[in-house]
Amino acid sequence: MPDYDVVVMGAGPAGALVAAELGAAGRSVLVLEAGPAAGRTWADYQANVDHYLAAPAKVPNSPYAPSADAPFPSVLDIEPLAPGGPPGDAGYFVQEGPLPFSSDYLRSAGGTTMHWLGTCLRMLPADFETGARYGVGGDWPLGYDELEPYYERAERELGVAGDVADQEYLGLRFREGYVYPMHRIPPSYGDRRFSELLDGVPVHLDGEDVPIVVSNTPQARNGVPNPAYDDGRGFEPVGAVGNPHSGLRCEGNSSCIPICPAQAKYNALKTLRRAQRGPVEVRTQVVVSRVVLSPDRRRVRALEYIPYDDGSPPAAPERVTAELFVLAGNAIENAKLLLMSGAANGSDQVGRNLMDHPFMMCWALMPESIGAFRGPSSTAGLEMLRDGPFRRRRAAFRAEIANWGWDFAAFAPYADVAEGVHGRGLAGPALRSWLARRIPRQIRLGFLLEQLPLASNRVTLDRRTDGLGLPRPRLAYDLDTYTRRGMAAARECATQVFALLGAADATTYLPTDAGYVALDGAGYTYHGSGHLVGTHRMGDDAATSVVDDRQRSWDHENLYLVGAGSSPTIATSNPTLTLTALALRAADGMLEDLGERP
Amino acid sequence: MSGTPLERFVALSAALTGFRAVDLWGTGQAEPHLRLVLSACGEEHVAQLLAADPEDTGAILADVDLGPIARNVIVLWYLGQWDQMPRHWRDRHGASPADVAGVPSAAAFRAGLVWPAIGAHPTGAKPPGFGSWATPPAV
Repeated sequence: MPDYDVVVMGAGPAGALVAAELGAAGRSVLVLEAGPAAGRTWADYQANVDHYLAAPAKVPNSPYAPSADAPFPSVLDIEPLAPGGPPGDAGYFVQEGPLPFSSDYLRSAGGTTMHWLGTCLRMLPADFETGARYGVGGDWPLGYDELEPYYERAERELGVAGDVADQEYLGLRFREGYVYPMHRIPPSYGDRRFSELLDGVPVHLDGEDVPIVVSNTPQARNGVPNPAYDDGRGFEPVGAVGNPHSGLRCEGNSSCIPICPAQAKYNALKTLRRAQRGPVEVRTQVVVSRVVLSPDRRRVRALEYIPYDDGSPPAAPERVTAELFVLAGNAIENAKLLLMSGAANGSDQVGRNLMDHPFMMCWALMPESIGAFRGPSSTAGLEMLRDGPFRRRRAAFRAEIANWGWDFAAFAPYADVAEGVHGRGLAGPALRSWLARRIPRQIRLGFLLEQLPLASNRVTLDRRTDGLGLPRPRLAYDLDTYTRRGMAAARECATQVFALLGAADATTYLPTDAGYVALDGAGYTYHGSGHLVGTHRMGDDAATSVVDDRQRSWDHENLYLVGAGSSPTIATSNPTLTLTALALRAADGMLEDLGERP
Repeated sequence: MSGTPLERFVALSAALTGFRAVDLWGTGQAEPHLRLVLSACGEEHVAQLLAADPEDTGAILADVDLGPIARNVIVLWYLGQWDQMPRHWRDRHGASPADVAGVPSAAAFRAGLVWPAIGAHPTGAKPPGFGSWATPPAV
């Protein structure tokens, strides 16, 4: 008898959801989480909020204590790589280059949803078939229509606020009569000014006029429930874990990333709580170190894991057996474990096709105050350039319209205060009014660029090890001409948008920036989006993909690999909604595999 | 010169920041801020700063010894963050082990004056409520 029906590695959104679905069906599940249980009590969660408030650099992982035994990357570790020089060695990743992979993630109960923004755009129908339509990227083994019912379930699980009427563009279609669980989050004052000044006015790109649409963003953030949801049954928002009085509605803390103090934004602790209503056990601070295969390699027999307690010597590895195994450790951790175990890699695709949305910011000063630094980080975007014939030659993109001024584009408001005090020698009322005239006028666009799957962008294992003696991930990463052309188009788009707004462009890219790339004599700087995609791609051929369309390993019949690592292409939507929909679909497959209860 | 050192610190801080003394008292940070400045810059220099005329901030800021302290005090109030004193000042007066860059506490960050100055609220604290971001800005 195996120890459990199912063992899941990773308590992030995909792992927690699979556990919840299987547990609800009466299956016994063990979830093994590498990180700590950070935030599972309200006191603990508030300690993380305070940790963030007192952090000198308010980066996405600033609320969370680092660990040597289950390390995670920090954006503070990203540094420029010298051409032909040794790999970057700062932090958890070993960066082979030529460009730094600039995203982070969190190893913790809740995974990286602890610091995500909450954007929940569906993929476009075209995104599933860019190979057939445009001759680039590749095709998914399933299409939009097959995923559509799972998108609806994912929007319930994450608690998405949005209006369908805002989302029907570029072929996106919804079931007749469908509404989101909650009404859309109110557009910021800045969004409204953008709409007044831009809606319907064309930008000229790729020889075409494309009318601008300022589009409210569907987001996993509690707002006003829509009574029409679920055929009139309505929707009950899910509040904070550990505090029934908090998080039922966004209260405007303006700190979605790194942490929502109210927990009005979805995090996977909420799904984990639901999971534990069933026969689901969660163990934290246990790092899975090996996938143990049967002698004929057709099945996984056990997972080996190392319990740890930072500061103490590592314990001896332990083993757990199950009918079925699920890896939900994110694209990099899943690939690392499979490579360490020599598993699931008959296609030689494990670790390859690593993708992110290179994130390029453009910023400017409006002629009037739009009240920057109020509200969720972004409540609207420009989505009209997510698809088009231009995808034959350059990357598509979306742009988030930021509500927090020049935040990390130019370190506002910290750098503004420094400039006022030290640069301009201001003090007293003169300083106060200078800041008041400047910062509330700051606007910023954040472009998320499509990146094609490239076999050479990959995760491998480095000889250097972490606190438990496990290899650190070694990342090879570059931006191809397709993506760089997209950056050039995005920069041109921003230039035109700022001109239409009457805003003074302040965008600066420096050759010394870690993410500086050149194209045709111009330069652009990208950062990471925290969107880890593609290292165990899904396909319909075992020779060229790692998992099938249900995310089951081609090589081992009782192993599923879930998360955005299964996505064959990244397209332009933030990946969490899609990975959630895919996890629900995978859970259906798992229940089918497990069969009727004996 | 009248009042306790703390009262004089608040009067000077009001002049340096452009906020009223009552606003500064209301942050609850006057005392911890003064304590930090004392430990980072030394009693002697802070005593000189507090002896200066708060009406004449120009003279204070122009002073080679007092100016750098005053500017750090402004940043401390506005951002809830202590910047290390400039190199030339540390070379001249000796470096204190307490003169370390950082955010002294979550409360110091929450009390930052930049947020009310721009009509906002500190990120992650004092939330203004659902939908507040949709209203026309006050600043």
